[in-house]
Amino acid sequence: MDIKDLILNPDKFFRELSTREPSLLPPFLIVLTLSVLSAIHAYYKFSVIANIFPPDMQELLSMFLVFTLLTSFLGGFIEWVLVAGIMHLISALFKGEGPFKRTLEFIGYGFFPNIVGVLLTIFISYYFLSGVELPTLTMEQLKNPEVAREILASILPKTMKYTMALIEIAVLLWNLVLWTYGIKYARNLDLNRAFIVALIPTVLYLIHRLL
Amino acid sequence: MRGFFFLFLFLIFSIPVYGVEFVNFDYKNEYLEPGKTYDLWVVIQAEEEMNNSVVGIYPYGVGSQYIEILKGKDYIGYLPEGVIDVGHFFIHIKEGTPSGDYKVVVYCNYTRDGKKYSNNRVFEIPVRGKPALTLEYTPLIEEGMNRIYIVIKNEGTGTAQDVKIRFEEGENIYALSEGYIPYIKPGEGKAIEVKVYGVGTGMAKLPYILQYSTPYNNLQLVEKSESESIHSKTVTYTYKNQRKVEERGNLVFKIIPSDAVEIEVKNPLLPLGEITNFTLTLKNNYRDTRFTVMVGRYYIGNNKKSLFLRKGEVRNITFTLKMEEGGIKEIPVKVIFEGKEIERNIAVDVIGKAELVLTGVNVEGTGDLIITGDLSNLGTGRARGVLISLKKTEYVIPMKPYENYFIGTLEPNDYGSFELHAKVINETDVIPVVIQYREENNRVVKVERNISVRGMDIYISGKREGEYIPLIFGGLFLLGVLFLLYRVFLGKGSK
Repeated sequence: MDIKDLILNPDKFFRELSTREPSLLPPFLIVLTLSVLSAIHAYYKFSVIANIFPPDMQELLSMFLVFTLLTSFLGGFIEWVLVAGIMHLISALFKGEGPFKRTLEFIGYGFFPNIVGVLLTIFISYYFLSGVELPTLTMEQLKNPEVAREILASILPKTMKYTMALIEIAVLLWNLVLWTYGIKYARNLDLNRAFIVALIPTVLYLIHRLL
Repeated sequence: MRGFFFLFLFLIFSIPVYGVEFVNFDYKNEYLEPGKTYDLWVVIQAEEEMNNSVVGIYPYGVGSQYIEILKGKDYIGYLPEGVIDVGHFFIHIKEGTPSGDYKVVVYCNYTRDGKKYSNNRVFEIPVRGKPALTLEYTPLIEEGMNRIYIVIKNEGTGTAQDVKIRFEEGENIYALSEGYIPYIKPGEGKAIEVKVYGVGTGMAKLPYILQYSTPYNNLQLVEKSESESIHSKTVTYTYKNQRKVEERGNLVFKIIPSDAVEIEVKNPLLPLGEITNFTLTLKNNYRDTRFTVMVGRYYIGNNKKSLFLRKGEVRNITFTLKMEEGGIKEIPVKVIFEGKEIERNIAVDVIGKAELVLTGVNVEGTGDLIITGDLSNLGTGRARGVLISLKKTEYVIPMKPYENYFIGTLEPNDYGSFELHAKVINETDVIPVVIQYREENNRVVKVERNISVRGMDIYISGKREGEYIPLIFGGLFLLGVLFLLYRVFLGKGSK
């Protein structure tokens, strides 16, 4: 696996890879790395935000932390299978041919930008949230979700939000590139059709994020 | 000069006179009272044979103004040597004669051997005034219990001592107390307080017994008896000492309903300081009459106002007061009508108003603020349980342990310091605080004040310095990806 080609020349990367037997290990490692990093990021954010909750809620928070780590960790794998499934189905409409294993393999490589994105996100989160002292809210304050939301929103600087948004857009566009070439060779499509197939889950994801 | 004159008279009268001796000067009383007529006897003894003897009296000096001689001469005629005889006179002490000793000259004119002779001597008559007590009172009382004042006036000329007044069972009225005055001088009047209970409405009669005594013995002739024997005639006078006097009479009252006048205060809650509109409401349940209302304390200026009310009419009357301290106060109010005084104590609650202001406020820190300052009481009332708290807003979050600060009691012109901790999570111009305290009437007051932090650098959002570096970094990352897209799709990577 030539990472350089994956980044700079995905056409070449997937073309060469399509000549080999499908192997899910490398994409699995990519998604696993992504999931671990996502879980670390989620843990870090959680540990910062948990300070606003009163000590009475710590037991509940522990449970919530486990839930957050699980969803962050498993989210990457679920997303991998989901995106691959959607693209496999859509490519079928364009008379794409190829096994799902290959689709799953190539779409998995497409999550490589997310690793870069998560790494950047962790760095930026640390940059903005390290040293932040959060007030502990009372139960009365927490009972009003508006107040809690306002406080959380006020803690996260707008600059951080904008930076995150830029990184997320960049990662998504990068995903689009990799998924286009990935599905092209996985399902034997021309570039235009492959682009459309890759664009659909990308747009769906974008809509999901905007909502 | 006058002293010399009396000395001269004394020398003249004290020289033994050969002719007649004035043995006795008698008026059968210890003292003589003004307004009364008295018998006066002068006993003489002839020291030599006397013919055409006439004994007479006349007042001397100031006594001539007060002593009226009704019979001032008594003819005796012949008196052999050594014989005693009596001259009988009548005198009247004029009304209003002040107490004092008045001089009376007794003289005896006679002839002997064809020559006229006259001897005289000065005697003193002690005149002591008699007290004459009259009662004055307001004949209007309320139904039920009343405290009335009876003024006992001494219109006589002598002092009345141990003046007691007691009451017997009356008609529609009962007296529940008696009165005692140690003495009342002439022209003086003293009041005694008596509790009386009026039954029903209408007329009432209260019998009284007024007892007093004069300061001297007051012998009055009560019996005169004469007994005659062969050689003599005896006259016996019986006197009674009327020193103690007892007079009886009735006090007549008109009993009016107990709610003849209703007095209410319009607003029993008064502020401390000057009150220009202290309003009393009067309702007349009696009859058409004029009322005078007097405020007994705390007033400024006119404390007496008069108004005419028809029966059933209700009207307000306003006074100006000045209350200098808080708490429940009683204002004595007197309503006078038809000589009757009704006293009521109007209870008011005087409440000083606390006025708490923030002074010397200092805000330190950036993001995490320490707010210090003083709460000063500029008002007139005490503020108790003073608590200052930070109000949580979307930009300001109170921080423990000084989310609030208990100051306690603030007297007027007093202050208390405070410290509050807060976290500012966004730009804001004010830090709101809530000041809570209890007024003197226990009413809880909450006031919100804003501490201005306009122009102060109290907020820092995360990494203020260089916060745009990650944004630039993100932007560069996006540009890199866009370049990659260009390269892949349209450029080198697409080949």
